[in-house]
Amino acid sequence: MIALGWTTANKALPDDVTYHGDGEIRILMMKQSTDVDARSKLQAQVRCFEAGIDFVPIAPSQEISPVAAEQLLAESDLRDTVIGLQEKAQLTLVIDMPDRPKVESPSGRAWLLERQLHLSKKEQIVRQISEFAQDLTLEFTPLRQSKNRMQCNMLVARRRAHEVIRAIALGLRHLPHLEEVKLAITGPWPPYDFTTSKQFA
Amino acid sequence: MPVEMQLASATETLESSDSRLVDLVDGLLDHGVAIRGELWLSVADVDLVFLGLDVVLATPDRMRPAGALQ
Repeated sequence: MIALGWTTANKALPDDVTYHGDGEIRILMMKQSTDVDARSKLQAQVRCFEAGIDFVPIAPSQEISPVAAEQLLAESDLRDTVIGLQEKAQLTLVIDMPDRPKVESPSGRAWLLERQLHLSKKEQIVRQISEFAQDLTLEFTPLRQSKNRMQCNMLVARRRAHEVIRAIALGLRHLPHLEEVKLAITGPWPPYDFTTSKQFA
Repeated sequence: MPVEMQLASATETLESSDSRLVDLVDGLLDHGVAIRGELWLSVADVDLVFLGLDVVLATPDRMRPAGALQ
């Protein structure tokens, strides 16, 4: 069987998932033991989360048996993480920027500076987003980016996730200089990007 | 012109064929508790160095064998 994460929950689970262990913290695991790809594990984790189960997710690409998951729990600080992430959810923002204007840079330094300027514009957008959600957000991950796309993740109280989404959506509609930016707000997700965080509010 | 904005629940994101949501889902597959980690070192948005890391989730004192000097 394949472990999906660690939880203190004791609620009804989706049909294809069961509990392993009987301690304070138990392992969520898939009943199916073979032919489980990473995407199926992710879907099972989302089903658990949407069924109201708070848990610390194992990366879906990882194959960790329930026994190995128990061992990891015993030999690490995971307990604190499981307790700290109770009633927390992750929102993920994807921001697509317009293409950078092509500038012939006279030197490597000028090229780096020009890229830095573009990056600071991106960071400004994220700052604006965080201002809308400041009072509602517990933690942000650093900006992750590729070419014209950037992504950031917010840890929020699960019960306020939709409130945060509304606050960001409403606030951003009124910012005049975000033309050409495309934004996707997704979630609530299990807290995939906060499993090593120590800053739980 | 207003910001183009898309809101999607986790399930809607998983079922979407929109390329950026598909990319997001692909990215999530490697997130969560992992035994293996990756680190990119960048300067001014330019990726310079990639490190593959084997990660052990433990505090330093738990890593020390019992009886070892602090």
